[in-house]
Amino acid sequence: MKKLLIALMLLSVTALQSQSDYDYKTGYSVGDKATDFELKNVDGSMISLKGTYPDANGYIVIFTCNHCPYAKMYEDRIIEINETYAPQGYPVIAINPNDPDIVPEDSYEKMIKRADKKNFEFPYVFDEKQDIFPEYGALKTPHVFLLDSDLTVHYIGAIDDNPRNASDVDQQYLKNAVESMKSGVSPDPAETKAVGCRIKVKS
Amino acid sequence: MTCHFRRIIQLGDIVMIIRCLFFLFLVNSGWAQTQPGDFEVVDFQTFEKKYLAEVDQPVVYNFWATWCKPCVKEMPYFLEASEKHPEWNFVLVSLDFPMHFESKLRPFLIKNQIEIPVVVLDETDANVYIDKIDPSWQGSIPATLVWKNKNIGFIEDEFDSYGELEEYLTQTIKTHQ
Repeated sequence: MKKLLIALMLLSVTALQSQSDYDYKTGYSVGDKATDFELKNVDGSMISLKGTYPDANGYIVIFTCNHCPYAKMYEDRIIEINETYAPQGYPVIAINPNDPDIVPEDSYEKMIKRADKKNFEFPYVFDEKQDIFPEYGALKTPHVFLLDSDLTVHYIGAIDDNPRNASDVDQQYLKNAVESMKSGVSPDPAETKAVGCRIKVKS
Repeated sequence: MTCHFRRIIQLGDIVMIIRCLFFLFLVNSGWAQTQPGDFEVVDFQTFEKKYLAEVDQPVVYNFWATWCKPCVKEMPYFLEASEKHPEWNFVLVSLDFPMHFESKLRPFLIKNQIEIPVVVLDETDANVYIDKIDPSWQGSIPATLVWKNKNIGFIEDEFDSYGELEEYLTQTIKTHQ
């Protein structure tokens, strides 16, 4: 009987295209030393951590993008975090890791438009070759890596505990981690997890 | 619906009995097919209690959302698997936002005639449940959990074909008979 009922189900099958796999387990853990990079910013300049910010006390590296609903929900919070912490020597560097062939909304041109519209005061760079995010082990957007001035990873994970509503946030994971790092103590938690959009990898 | 078993059994009664049994099957089985468009909204505590429980048949939980393109892309494979493998149960765990329940989720379920159970996990902080589903989960979707009284398989990736999904499920379930 069950089979009969199931046979009545209608399926909508769409044309499918395969994507290559990527092993996120090879990324950084807290305590690892992160790689520096040289990636193109929306203003055309090349951005690197130590090269662009030689005097920084640390770096807030955020893998994010244009299209993901979670990334969009955090956009204003990322702007605010940069406003708070860049003057203290902890600049935000936003990296778009997605392949625009898969998500046209995440193209370099669209990044420029988005950064312009939202008045990003921080670099929004493009991991065009898709070789930086696998080293970090970023798997989704948004995905935060907090580094100290030696590029040692102090915190990995979410910005806070409430993607949907900034005013209902209870745990400021990233801000707490920055404050801990400033005071020379280990962030607790040093790693958090959140739902996000899987990074779209070139086939 | 009421059952009248006392009368002499005639053809009409047999039909009635079958209907009654079918009704009981639907009520008693947690895996009843639902009307396309139906979904249940639960917090993680309820999800854990109700769904990550003792089961007779393996259950495949697919974590998805209407805003997640690769999830939508692989969904036909899950529908096909539920059709071809009635010995496995399937549950679609949606991570859609409350503001999209009526505008996106329900229309999607109706449009695609989805009759396998749909549960919306309504939690603001995914950090509280991600590790409990599987410690290796980084939080991206699609992700798929195979459950048979415990987590017997978890994959944080999309399936590129029906064959890939079927092979993964067959292998995972076979090694945990």
